[in-house]
Amino acid sequence: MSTRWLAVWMMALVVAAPALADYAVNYENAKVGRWACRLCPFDEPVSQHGAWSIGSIDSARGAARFGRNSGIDDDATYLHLDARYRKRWKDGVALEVEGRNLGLSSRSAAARVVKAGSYEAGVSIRDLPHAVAFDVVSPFRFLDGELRLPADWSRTPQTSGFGGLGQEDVAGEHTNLRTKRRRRAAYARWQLLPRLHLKTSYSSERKTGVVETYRDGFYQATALPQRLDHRTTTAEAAIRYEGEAAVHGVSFRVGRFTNDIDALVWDDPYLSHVQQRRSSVAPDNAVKSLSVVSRWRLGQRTVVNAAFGGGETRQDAPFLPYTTNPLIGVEEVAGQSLGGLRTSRHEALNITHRFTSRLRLAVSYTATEREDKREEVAFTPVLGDLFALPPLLGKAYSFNQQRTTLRLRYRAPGRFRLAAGGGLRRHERSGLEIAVNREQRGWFEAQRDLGPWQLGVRHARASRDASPFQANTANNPLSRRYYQAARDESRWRATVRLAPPTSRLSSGLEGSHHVYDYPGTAIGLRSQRSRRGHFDVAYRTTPFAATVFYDVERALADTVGSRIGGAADWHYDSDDAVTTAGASIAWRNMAQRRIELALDYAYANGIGSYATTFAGEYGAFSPLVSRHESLNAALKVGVRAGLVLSARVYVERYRSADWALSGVAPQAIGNVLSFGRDSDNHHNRLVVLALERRL
Amino acid sequence: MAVAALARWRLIGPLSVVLLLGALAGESFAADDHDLLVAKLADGDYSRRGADSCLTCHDETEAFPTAAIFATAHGHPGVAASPFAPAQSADFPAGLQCEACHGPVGEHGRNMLPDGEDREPILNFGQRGNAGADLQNQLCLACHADYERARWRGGVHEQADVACASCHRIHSVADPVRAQTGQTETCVTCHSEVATALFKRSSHPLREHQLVCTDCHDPHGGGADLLQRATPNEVCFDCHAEKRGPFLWEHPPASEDCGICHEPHGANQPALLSRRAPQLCQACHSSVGHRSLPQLPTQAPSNPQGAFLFANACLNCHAQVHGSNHPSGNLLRR
Repeated sequence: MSTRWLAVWMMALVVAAPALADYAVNYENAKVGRWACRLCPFDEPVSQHGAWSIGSIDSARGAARFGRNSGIDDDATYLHLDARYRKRWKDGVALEVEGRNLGLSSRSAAARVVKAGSYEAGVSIRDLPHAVAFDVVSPFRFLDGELRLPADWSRTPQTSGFGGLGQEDVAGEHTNLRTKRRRRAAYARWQLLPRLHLKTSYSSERKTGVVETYRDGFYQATALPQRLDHRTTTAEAAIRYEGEAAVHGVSFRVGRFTNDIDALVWDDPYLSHVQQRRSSVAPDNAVKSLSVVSRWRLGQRTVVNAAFGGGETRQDAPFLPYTTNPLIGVEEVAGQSLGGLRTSRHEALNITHRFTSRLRLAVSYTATEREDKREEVAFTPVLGDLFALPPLLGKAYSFNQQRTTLRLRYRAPGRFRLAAGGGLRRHERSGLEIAVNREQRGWFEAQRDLGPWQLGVRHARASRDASPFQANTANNPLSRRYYQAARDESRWRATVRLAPPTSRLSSGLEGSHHVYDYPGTAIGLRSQRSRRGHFDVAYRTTPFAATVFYDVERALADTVGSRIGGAADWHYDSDDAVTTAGASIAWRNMAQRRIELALDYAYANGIGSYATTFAGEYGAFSPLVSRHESLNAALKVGVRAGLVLSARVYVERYRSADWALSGVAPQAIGNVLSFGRDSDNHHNRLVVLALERRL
Repeated sequence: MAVAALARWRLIGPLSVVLLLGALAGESFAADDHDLLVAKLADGDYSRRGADSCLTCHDETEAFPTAAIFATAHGHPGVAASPFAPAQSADFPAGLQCEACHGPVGEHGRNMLPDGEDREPILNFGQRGNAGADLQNQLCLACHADYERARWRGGVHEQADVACASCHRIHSVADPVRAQTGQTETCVTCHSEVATALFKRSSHPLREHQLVCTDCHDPHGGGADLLQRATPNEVCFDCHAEKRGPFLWEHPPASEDCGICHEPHGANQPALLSRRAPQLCQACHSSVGHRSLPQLPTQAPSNPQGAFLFANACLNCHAQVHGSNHPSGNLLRR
């Protein structure tokens, strides 16, 4: 029986099942004629709340990571400016305005005006900086949109021949690898008729900056500072009907991605057959979609919701030529562009039925289809701008996923909650080694309150099979790609929480274990395991709160391979362990509500242990380290009514070690000219002083 | 189907034990207030004075102050259909003041209680409220069953018995979960694994409040991961549209699900990768040649194989791992 028919049968069963009880709310007896509420503060129907704070931020920065997302990129003094304001008028119209980090490049601002049940409109702007590294050394300079080497650059076959790429080198540029997104958005919603709404929205995001990328010549690669300048716009219009028994909505969305850079062109630093190489960048694309969402209430006990959507993505960016090598005699590229058209379809249907006030059943079915409708055209790729390969077909990739699930929940007296369910999943792909996967899944969950204790356990098992392997690639026929392979899955999660109703102390303990095994895989990923433990404790009174947490997580994987294409003769072990801990203390309302103090300490230590076993010998890589420690102290002192002086000190220490980066100079890898970036290590400080005015 | 699945994976044994323990333990503890509250809703014994009956006791000296609601839309008489709008029976529960949400007061408001007698309960909200999330949410959805919540029923949060009040603060001037600086903190109180993921070597900037959970997730939505769009990749493409393609040469896992290689909340490796290259790549790519060679810790960068292990490893050459639009990019190098 197909997944779709199984879902139909189960849904029919749910709808036909008898209903035994109901949450009827009896409004008939409400006699409100004498209600007045003299104690309600209705006498001030115009209310406003707001605050702004202004001050300075002093930064002592040692690395980009410190300001990775804050925009605090340099040792400097920045303006600290935050503001928020809310006002609600007598007729219920509300205005909200908020600005954050207005003196930094991570600034955001938003304004919204709303009259409930009538209209709502808002605008926002958000800047998202992202800094990866500063002052990386590269011999390339940007000239007319291309990456050029200095005129006196001497080309050699190996990176060891490149001289003068140390930190003192001035032949190249000291480049900052950072980007900035500026996102603008606006929306409006009107009530056209009592139950009919129209909503429109528009957003535009421009991303600019320089990122790290690598490109290959002919088995000789080069780190390149790649300039970005692209824009994503999305517009959406939706009409919605919101009735008591049914809600329906239709929305139409169009989106466009526009790249202002057409190609990545760079001078080849190696002694090679071409002076300049060229690579493609992200092509322009356009997407549009139509979706319908509905919800029906059938009586008081059954709710049906459904979503159907379809869309298409087009990509018609002009192709670059096959090669920059004029000596290669290949025919012209077939067609001027991909003529790419990808359609997608999504269906979701869910039925929830309440048999009693404690017993509920839900059945859901979802299907997603992606169909690549491009024409199959033969291309003649040129390898390394040197050899023309035999013609290859540009492969279209399509897939279809279906999922059916059934979930039953019973809430027994005495706060005892039981839930169980199962499901089927089918995944079909075109052109890959495994065409179809089918997965069966079952789970149960129990949660019990025993006085102040809350106990919970959840267990799930799943088994995924795979259709017969088709050896249609050059891969070792014994290998199975892990996202297509047959897989057994087991998950356990247990929680214990202690929260006595009369106590100010609460605590929780959580543990989980997750296993993926790939029983049919002889070459490739054979297993993944993860374990996690979490402990937290909190003490809260009205003026004082203290919390502590400790979390440890390990993710292990086992991958096997074969040098010569036969049975396994080596394997990798990986073990990523991350320990996170933190403590925070907050005192509010000290000294007659004039002083607030907050302290937060956070610690995170990530260790990656990777090892290779080959020819009977086990060798471990030096551990990958990523250690973060930070302390944040914030003090607020009320100077007078509505005026607060605030101070904040933030100290951050970060240490990392990555064998792929540490000590690897720009020309250290034989045939890869890298940036020579070292692992991040820094110790930074931030001081903020501000005056806050509250309305 | 569910029973067959349970039997197949030997779940019935452990499940039975849990059921039995739960049932036995249930005998020694008092039942919660769920049934009583359901009955009170059906009886409809509303107060005679409305909110005045409640505010006489529930003032600002309480451990849980209530008056801030009057600075919000819920407590404003000018907001149409709010609990404190002028009451008209045609619009109930709008206008039913405190009892619009907390249900009919019944005997809860009795002035004098005999010694030893507990006050009759009234509906309290939150994850530890005295009624099931299903019942609590029904009171909220009486007004808020709109388009945004059309797929709430059957969604993961609803199935997990998450109450609206577990996330939303009604008796507060501003609801933290709706603010850019308060949302992540609210979500991670339950999703503690995400809180720790945000401290890992690479993560999306939620800790810095540059992004919020609802940029990707719709907590009121349907689907397995409560995503804002129908598939994970469509969510990612909202910000990473340069990877949307379709490309001339695609990398099937990247087209299928970004989560095959990336951990969206945070990872111990760069670029949110679940494991690092080349180990991650060689889990799938095994054809004879450099793809089938084991990478050893003794290898020096200057070794001919150094290019496969140091700097960006496989991505030193195959940098177009999300797809290439170059006619010579069949190996995702151009």
